[in-house]
Amino acid sequence: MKKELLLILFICFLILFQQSFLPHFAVYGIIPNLILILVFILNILDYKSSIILSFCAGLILDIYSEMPLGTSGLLFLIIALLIKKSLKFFQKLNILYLILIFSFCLVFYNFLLNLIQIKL
Amino acid sequence: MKINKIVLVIIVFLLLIIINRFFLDTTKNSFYNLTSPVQSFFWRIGDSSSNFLQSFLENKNLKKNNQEILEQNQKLLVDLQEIRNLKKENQELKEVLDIGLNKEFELILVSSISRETNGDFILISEGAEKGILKGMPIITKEKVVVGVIDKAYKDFSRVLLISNKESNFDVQIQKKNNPENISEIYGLAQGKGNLKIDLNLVPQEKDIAKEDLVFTTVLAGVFPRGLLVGEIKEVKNSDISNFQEAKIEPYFKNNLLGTLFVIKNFIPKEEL
Repeated sequence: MKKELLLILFICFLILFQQSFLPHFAVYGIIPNLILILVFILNILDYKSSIILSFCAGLILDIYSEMPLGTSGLLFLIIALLIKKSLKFFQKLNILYLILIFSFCLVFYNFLLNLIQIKL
Repeated sequence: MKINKIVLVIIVFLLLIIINRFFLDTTKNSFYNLTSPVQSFFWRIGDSSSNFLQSFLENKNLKKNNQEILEQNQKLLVDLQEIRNLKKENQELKEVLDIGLNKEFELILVSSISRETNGDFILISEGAEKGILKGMPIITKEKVVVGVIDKAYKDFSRVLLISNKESNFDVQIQKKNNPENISEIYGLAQGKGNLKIDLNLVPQEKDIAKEDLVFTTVLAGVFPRGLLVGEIKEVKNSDISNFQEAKIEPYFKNNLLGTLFVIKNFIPKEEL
């Protein structure tokens, strides 16, 4: 439990860092999504509370965006579940697999987020 | 055990619906209040670090840039003298006509504290408590337009940047080589996301070129007249279309990190 709380604090720190420090180093206006990277790492390493932590990370990220609370939370939750499912198909982790899964997560998250933004 | 989990999920979703429906603004405002010192700290550190990095990377071009700036400075000095003469003349005319046109904007000083990863939004340090309302325009001290207030919380506001995909407004184009020809060419500026803006609906017969300046107009009632948007970066001519398209290099990109101003006494048409 203590580890999880520390991880949530770390997620808060990352979100503030992403929203307030990284915009100064944006390339073509694009800022890297550190939270998506963290969610990916937690789930690929099969961390025991990774699904709940992914949801919480999304919730905190929603507070600092214009989206309704729970949007990124739900998307990260789906991503976490998909990564967990995909781990069962691939017994050994290799770099190609990691790149493939991360690219999928990135496209999936941005596509659905943009879709929700348009609908709203 | 499984039933407990289902109940927990239902409770979480109900809570989210209630927060979204009734307490979203309060929740967000409280979080911004709690974390604004850390955000301001990161913003300042990021600003100084990027300045250092930029100066380091641009060191090679420094001599060339310096020469260009010197030339520009000399040209601007000449222009300044002309403006002084015009201002004096204008002041005299106003006094004679007594039409009270010397009203300046009523401004609220704010500073930006964060930018969102998705969508072109920034968060600024003042909110509804200072009289900020939805739709009010934001400018820099150089009268460069930044965006409009999208949402005013109690102590903070979210600004929709002019480069946001939802942003579109009428503009006037001023020829770089002929600054007096300001009222001839009109177009529509449309945000494209990631700090990019496109210029559309410029008639084919109008002559626009790279480095022409783009200003706001009052036609759509989104911004006051004469705020600087940026300069034309690239013109795209098409034989099949009745209109020309161009890319605008927005000037606010370079001033986003400093002090900004909310124009309090300009209410957009939509909000009236």
